[in-house]
Amino acid sequence: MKIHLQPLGLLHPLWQFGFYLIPVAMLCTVSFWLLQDFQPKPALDLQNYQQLLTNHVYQQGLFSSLKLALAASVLSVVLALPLAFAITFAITDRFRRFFIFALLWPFFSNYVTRMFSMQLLLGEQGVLNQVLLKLGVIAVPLKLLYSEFAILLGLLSILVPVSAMIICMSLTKLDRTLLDAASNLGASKLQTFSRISFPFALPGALGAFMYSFIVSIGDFVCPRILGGNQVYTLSILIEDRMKVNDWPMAAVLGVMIMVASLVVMSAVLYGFTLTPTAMFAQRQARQNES
Amino acid sequence: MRSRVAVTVSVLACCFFLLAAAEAAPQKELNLLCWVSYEERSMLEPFEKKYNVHVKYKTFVSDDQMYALLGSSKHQYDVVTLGPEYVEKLHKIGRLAPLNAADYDFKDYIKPFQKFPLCWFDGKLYAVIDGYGANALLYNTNHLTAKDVETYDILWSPKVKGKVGIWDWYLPTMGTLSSALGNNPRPTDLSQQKFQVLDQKLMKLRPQVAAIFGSPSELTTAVANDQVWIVPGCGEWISAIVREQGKPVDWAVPKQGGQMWIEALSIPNDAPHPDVAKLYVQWMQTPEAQKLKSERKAYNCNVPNKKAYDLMSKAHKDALKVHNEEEAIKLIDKLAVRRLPSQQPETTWQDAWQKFKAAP
Repeated sequence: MKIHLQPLGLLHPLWQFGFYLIPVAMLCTVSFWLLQDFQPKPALDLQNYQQLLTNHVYQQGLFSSLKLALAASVLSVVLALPLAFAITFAITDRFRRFFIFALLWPFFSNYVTRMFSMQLLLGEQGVLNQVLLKLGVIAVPLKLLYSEFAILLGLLSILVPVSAMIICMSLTKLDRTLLDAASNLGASKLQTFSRISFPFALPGALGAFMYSFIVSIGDFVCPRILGGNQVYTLSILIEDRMKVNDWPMAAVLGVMIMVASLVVMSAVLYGFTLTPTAMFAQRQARQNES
Repeated sequence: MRSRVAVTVSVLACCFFLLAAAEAAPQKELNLLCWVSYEERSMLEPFEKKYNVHVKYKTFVSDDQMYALLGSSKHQYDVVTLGPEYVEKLHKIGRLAPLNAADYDFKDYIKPFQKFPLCWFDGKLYAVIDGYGANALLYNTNHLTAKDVETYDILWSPKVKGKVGIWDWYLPTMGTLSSALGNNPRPTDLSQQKFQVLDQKLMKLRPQVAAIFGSPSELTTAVANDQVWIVPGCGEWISAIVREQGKPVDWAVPKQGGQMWIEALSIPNDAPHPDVAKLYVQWMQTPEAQKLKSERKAYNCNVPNKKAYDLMSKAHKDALKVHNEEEAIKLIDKLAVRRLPSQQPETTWQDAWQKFKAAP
């Protein structure tokens, strides 16, 4: 068995080396290059990083991206949690597969096309405005498209289903007999939820948050198609730099996304260690060791 | 048994002859570095069929991109489509091959394009113009009248707040706004003081903007869907397409004038197939190809070959607002040829554009 596992075990570091460390090293290297007459030239210069710190456009890009990514991640988890609970507890086994399939069905279509079709939904002459106008809810069409709201909606359409799946996976570890025991011992539904079900969902929620944050901070399609470039995010900034062959500045912005993601992820992971669920797990681990 | 052998031999012989025939008439290849729209099948197919050429292409949506792509390539492209402002720039760095003027037919070209100064250097031809259009004002006729767009001032009016569409390339929009400030005929040749005025005017436009579109096709969709009512730096090239869809759209050159964008074809000095490149440029000059070019799906345009107008429908010519050479020259007189910034580095203008995009 060991003989088979050893070469397999090598796959992970090899994968990380080839598809993560080498590209990241290249990204960092290019970030020190300079752009001369629209051509990147190898150098070891901090000029691009200096620009990053002094040019408010880049700082604004970072702020917009972080704001958008945090909002999308929080909303994604908030919306995915009830969905995951419903799929895990409120639906019979027979229908669960169908619901999961229905949730993931939109992913069989192209992401860019889906976002363009959302334009038809959110436009001033779009379906949503027309329905609201006909129902008399609004007197003039709402300006939904080319806004932060539209970007968030687009992001949530791709984040919520996957987040729900991640939380579902976490909830499947929950031993149902615990719920019965709690009920038998006189716990209310709210107590059962807050003391048993929710703590079990937390690791999944954390995973869903991290997934949502990483996807949304680097997403380029939603800000471009649904946001109409009205929210100047880091990904749009990167595209703008690439348009003029400015690989060095685009690389710096890439590094910035990486660092920002690491900081946020670390903060969230640290925050998670302070939750009762994590403390309980740590206590259990210590007890097992002793 | 014998018949089986005979059938097998016949099939193999057929395969051999087919392969030999294919070998005998190899398909030629053309590598095109072009604006979006040149790759449309309606544009490529007639050329490919006529000359048995397979066209490969790489598209871009601004000449900045073209310059970057061409600059980082070697022996990759046979023909590049570019504005004359870039002919000068690429000629300076020795990136373009001189063309033999006798190989190209300018006799049916309207007068201003027969020997266009920006395509010639030291008496040698470096680019052949194949289309042009206006960077002026496009507007929705349901919401705005021809009187509204007599001047560019309408862009800053509360009437169009949140309804101004912008194409994401600094040169057409900033150039047009410079025209609006009375800087024609050289809207990009500005003193530092005039540039600052332009910068301020640009920033004042930001609250009016509905969206900044990455490509002409996205802009076209937004105009057609009533998301934007007015677009500076736009003209017949979007208007004609949207009008064809029955949408209430028109374009105008306000009294301050506008800019003229020009598309030309050049052959890089390291073109791997220069003979096929020459055939393509010659083909693009013909009235048939010029008509196809004028009626592209991505964006329409006027063309320098006057005979092409004999092949176009009246509706199309109405949308272009050009039916003959006289009208073409009248339009050209109102427009300043689009050039690169001359008194500031391009990066200064690009930075101003980036600041404009990032502004709330």
